[in-house]
Amino acid sequence: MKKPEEVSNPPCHLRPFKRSTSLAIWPNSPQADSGHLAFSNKDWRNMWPQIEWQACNSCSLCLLFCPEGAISWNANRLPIVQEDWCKGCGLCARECPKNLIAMIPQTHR
Amino acid sequence: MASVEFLSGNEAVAQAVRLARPRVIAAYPITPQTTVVERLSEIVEAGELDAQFVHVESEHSALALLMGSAAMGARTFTATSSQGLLYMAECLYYASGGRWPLVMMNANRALALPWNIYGDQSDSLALISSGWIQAYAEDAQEALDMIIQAYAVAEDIEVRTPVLVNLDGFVLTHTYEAVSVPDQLEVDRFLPPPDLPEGYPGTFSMSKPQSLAITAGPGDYTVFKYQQHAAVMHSAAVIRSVGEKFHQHFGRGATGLIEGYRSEDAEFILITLGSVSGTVRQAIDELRRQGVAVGMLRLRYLRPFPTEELVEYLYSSTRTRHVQNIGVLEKDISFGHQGSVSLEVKSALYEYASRQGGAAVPVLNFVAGLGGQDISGEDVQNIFLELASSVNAANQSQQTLSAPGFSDVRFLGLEPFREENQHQDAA
Repeated sequence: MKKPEEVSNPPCHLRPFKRSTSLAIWPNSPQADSGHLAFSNKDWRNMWPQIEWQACNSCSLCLLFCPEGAISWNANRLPIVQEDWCKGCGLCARECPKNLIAMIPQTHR
Repeated sequence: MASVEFLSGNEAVAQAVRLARPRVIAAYPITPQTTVVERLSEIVEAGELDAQFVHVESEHSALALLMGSAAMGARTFTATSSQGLLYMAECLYYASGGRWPLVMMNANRALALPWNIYGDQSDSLALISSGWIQAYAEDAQEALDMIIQAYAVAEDIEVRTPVLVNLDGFVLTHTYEAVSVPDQLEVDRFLPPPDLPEGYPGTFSMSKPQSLAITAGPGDYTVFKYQQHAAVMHSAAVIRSVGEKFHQHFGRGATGLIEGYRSEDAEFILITLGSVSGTVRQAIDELRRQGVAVGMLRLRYLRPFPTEELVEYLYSSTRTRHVQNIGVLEKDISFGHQGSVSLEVKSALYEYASRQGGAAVPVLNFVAGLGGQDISGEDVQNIFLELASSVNAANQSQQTLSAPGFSDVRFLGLEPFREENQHQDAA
């Protein structure tokens, strides 16, 4: 069995907006390569989805319903939430047919 | 070989667009722009231009659609007028801020209310700060030439800013004249397909997805806006070099952002823009025959504003006479102040005067041609005579009605109301 932290299909990653005091390397127009987040959501998120893996049957509803694409499979095809992307909206918890996702305060993690 | 054809201003624009080979055209009809897109739809239908012609439900959609097309690297075109341009206003700022190299024609027309479909310049002047380069054509030939050059300017890697080419509604859009239409091969040589530099819109693809129109927070926003400003300022040099290149290819056309007419030795200069310049030329020739030293400066571009060129024309050491008085003739009023073009000119002169010391040349503002009002040769001669007679006159003469308050704005056509107005002022 692979390590559960290992993500088999990594979602988009944090790539801070590249600031510079030189205009020469400042972006020419307000556009950037897709799939990158300029600022992490973890600093303002109130709630966090805590997933109970033991009873999960990998139905993938949480992954499909997540409006931010913040959930992906780990190597064992279990859902993991990306720290920087999750906004704590709770849709995954509401959609999980087995009620395995609990929304807990971010500060209680 | 170029051919000479009998075309309206709108038809000349349609021919220019055909020759520039846009891949996507989106437009919503509005008088007096309609015939441009009518001709273009026929040209696309006949297979003379390989382009997607999209009938959209509004002007707002037209410009939004073209931003998406430009994001895929396609050259585009749209045209509008008046209420349509204002309905697009939100997208105008999007397009310039996003650095999409769009080209649009605007048929200058009055704004409601009262409802009026005739020509004046209130529409484009209301959006002078929208980040678009603004050009004003004098005749159908210049309209054709400006459209072709507009693509070269907008797509320049250092500019990457949309261009708005303005034609006076009806007076220019619907009148016919002989126009030299260049050969496709000649235009292809002058205007190759758009260059798509890395980091600008146009490099978007399925294999390299990009997020366009991203957010920028308080500090970053200023840097993007500064870059935009710097690009429009820089575009003045590009407009000149593109004009010179066009002149080499086709043997015609002004290359500066301002064109002078008998201005080198003129004491009284009328600054204007658009199709009324033809009438001004005739009035100048007539007054010159009578020995009055009059001349014209025609603003071909209002953005970037050609401050240096204006100063060079007015204060050049090669001038044989000093300029005594300047008039600004425009089809627009910025309510509660004066005409928008007059504000532009005065700002440039103040900058010069404050740098050089001394007083700027007095400027009188003539607001004429509102809502399609005719500006006759006699009207223009009267404007020049007023400029000539108002030198050193404390109370400037009242050939045309002066607006109430501390202002030198004169409205053409309000002479019959003058007595009533003076009465009100006294009361």
